[in-house]
Amino acid sequence: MKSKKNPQKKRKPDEDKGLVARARNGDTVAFDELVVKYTPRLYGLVYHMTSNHEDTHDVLQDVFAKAYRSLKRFQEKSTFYTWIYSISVNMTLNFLKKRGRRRTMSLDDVDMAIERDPDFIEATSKSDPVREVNITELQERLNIALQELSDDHRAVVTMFDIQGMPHAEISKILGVSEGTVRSRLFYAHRQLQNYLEEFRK
Amino acid sequence: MKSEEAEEQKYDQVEKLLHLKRYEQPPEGFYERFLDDLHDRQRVEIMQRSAWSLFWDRVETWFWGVGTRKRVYLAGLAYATVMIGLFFRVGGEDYQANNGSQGEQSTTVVYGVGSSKVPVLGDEKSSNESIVPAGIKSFLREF
Repeated sequence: MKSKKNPQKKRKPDEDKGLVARARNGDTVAFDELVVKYTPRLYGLVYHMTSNHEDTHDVLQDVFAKAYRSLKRFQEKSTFYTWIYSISVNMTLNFLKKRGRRRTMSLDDVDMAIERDPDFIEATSKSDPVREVNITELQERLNIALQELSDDHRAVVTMFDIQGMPHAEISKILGVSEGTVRSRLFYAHRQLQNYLEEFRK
Repeated sequence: MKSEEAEEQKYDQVEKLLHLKRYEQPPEGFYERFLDDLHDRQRVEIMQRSAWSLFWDRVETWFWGVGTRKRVYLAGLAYATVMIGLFFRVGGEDYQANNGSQGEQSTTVVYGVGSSKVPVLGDEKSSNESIVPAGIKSFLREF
């Protein structure tokens, strides 16, 4: 029911509707297109949660295998991306619970466009002029700091700060209120401030 | 106020550092290998599944692929089939219970649907018998 205060939001049509329909009918090429399309976005989510390439690869394989098996039960109440993103978050959190605190970190490559980013220039301006070393050091520090957070806090930081997802969407995916998302973010940022204190000086 | 501003500045700096993680990328060739690895995994999964599981999977895929109206129709048809089957079976058992003591003159052996009893050719008893589904017999009697 529409009201003046809360006008019903128009849902964006799912751009993947055609591909999903074909994949549901057994078209593996269509499903492959969805895999190719969303692997980069989901990679970021899983990698920043696990900080390990092999774990990221394995979790993503599990995510897409599960998505393929469950596709016929996908009811299109959300977009395909939101659906598979939720699967990824849940499977990553479950994986981390099983993995425990084992920390075998592996660093990603970095797009050299980072050198032109004002935030990077600011962060490294007082440091050693050999930029490549600083990029690696920055990555390591950030990864270690993120791994110090609990899985739930790391999830909100990954989704909001790194992937730029709005609070409302994070709350839907995690099944918590927006207030909980904001308070987790606040607490996580305070923790990260402490961990990164030395690097920022 | 100064300490609040300092806190806010620190908060912003943390956010900026986290934003820089958007430049991170997987190792070269990761995405190319990923799809091949997924195909290999799916092949292994299929090999490990039973034929019945694969068949049921195809049935489910077909079922969810038809529209809602057709699904409702199919469900109704399945229900009707089960009820008709039960009707014949129960009707047969009732008739046997009510008419089991009748003489030999003209016996109608009643077979419920799915009954394993089959009249044997040349059998004396079977020559006087007619094979009539129990449900139809009792239905006709009423009219």
